[in-house]
Formats: sequence, structure tokens, C-alpha cells
Amino acid sequence: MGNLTYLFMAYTIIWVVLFVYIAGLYRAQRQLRRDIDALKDLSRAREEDKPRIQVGSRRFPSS
Amino acid sequence: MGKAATLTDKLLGASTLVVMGVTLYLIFMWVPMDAEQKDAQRIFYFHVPMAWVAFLAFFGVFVGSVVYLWKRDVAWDRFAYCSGEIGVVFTFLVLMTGSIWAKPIWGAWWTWDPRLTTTAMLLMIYISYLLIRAYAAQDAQAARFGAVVGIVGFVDVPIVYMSIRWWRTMHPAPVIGGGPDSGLDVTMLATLLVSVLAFTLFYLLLLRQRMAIKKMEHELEGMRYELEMEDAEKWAI
Repeated sequence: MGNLTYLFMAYTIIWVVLFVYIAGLYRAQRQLRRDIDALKDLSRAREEDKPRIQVGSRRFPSS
Repeated sequence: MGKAATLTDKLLGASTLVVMGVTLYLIFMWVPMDAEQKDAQRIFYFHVPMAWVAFLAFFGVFVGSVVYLWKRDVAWDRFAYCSGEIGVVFTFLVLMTGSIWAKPIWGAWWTWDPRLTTTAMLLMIYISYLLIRAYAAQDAQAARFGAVVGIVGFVDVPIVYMSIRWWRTMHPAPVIGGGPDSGLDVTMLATLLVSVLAFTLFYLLLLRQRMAIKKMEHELEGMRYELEMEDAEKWAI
């Protein structure tokens, strides 16, 4: 193998590893944002339902 | 990265891209080819700055761990953990690129040279740091144990740096402050310094993104806990 092959190999590995790491960070960030938004929606929905729920009531809040 | 990117993130991202672009231009278009090592010498312009970033990242672990143990502020623990993770990525790349450079120059992918061995140990130490963090039962325990490993593990950083001065080694002498026989051509030195700047900016960018993720994980855990508590209260009624 010529020296150029080793140079190509080194820079390819660097960029592939960094790309995989950055892609992993991006995916994690997107998933977390989705989960947080879902929990915020759930929490909001519960807050809106709260005044209509009476202790001991057998009816669903929406009925 | 993502819609919540702040102005600082955008500026940091843009400046990293610009300086990294300039670095690549300098490495492949501007700096002269080394007469002895030919093209393989160009690996050096990424290898050394990545080693610098790994040292910087582990220094971040050390500082974050010391301040966490002192103040018990979770933000410092977050900083230490994220810096450690980035340090592991860059140490791995330093070993890989060093090994690829060694094959045409030394004729072997790996030798148990003091610099290589201490760097491999450094990688193992900080992989164990991340594993301890991952497997500890509680967050506070993980942070405490991790901080101790992060502080003790940092002892290897000056050993790695000094290994080529303390022991007989095949590794090239330090190019800056390495004595009368060391040193670089001014174009090579300029390229190296620009690359160090590019990788330092890149480290800061990655650190900010990784810390934002860690903060979101913390926020998510808190929200889940609150909802679980609400459910538990409801069932208690």
C-alpha cells in the first residue's frame, strides 16, 4: 500500500467515527424532545381534566 | 443541531465549519509534503489536535468531578460526564490514526511503546469511567463514583504527555518545546495551530450539544417521576 492509501484510511475513519457520533447525538436529541413534548401534552391534558374529576365519581370526566 | 439551537450554538457551529474548512485546505493544498514520510505525515495535522482535545476533555472531567464533589451541583457532574464521553471518542481516534500512521513509517500497526501503551490505558480508564456511570444503581451514586474515577484517572494524562521524555520511545519527539532537535517548518506549525483551533471549537460545540441532551434526559426523568407521583396519589385516594 502507498502512503496515500494510509492517509485516505486515516481521514476516512476520523470522519466516519465523528459522523456516527454526531448522528447519534442528533437522534438522541430528537427522541428526547419528542418524549418531553408527549409528557407535556399528557400533563396538560390531566390539568385540564382535573377540575371535572370528583373524588368518588364513577363517571369519566368527558361523559 | 435541532430547533432549540441558540445563537451561541449557531455561531460556534459556523465558526467550527469555517476553521475546519480552512484546516483541510491548509493540510491538503497548502502545506508542503514531508520529504521522508510523504503523504502519511499529513495524518499528523489531525492526530495531534485530536490528542489535544482528548487531554482537554479529560481535564474537563477532572475539574467537573472536583467541583461536583465539593458543591454537589449536578451541572458540574453533567459537564464532567459529557466531557469524558467526548474524550473517549477522540482518544479512540488518536489511537486509530496513530496506528495507521505507524504502519508505513514503523512497519507495524502497533508496538508496546510507552506513549502508545499509556494512551491505550487512558482510553481504558475513561471507558471504565463511562461504564461505572452507566451501571451504578442511583444517579447520585454514579456521579460520586464517577467523580472519584475521573479525578484518579486524570493522573494518566501527564504520564501520557511525559512518556516520550521519561522513557526510550519510537514515538516522534514533541514538536513544540521538545528540545534542540525538535521543531517544525513554519508552514507546518501554522497548519497545526489552525487545526488545534478547529478541533478546540469542535470540542466546545460537541460539549454544548451533549450537555443539552444530558439536561433533557434529566428533565424527562423529572417529568416521569412527577406523573408517577400523581398517579400514586390518585390511587391512594
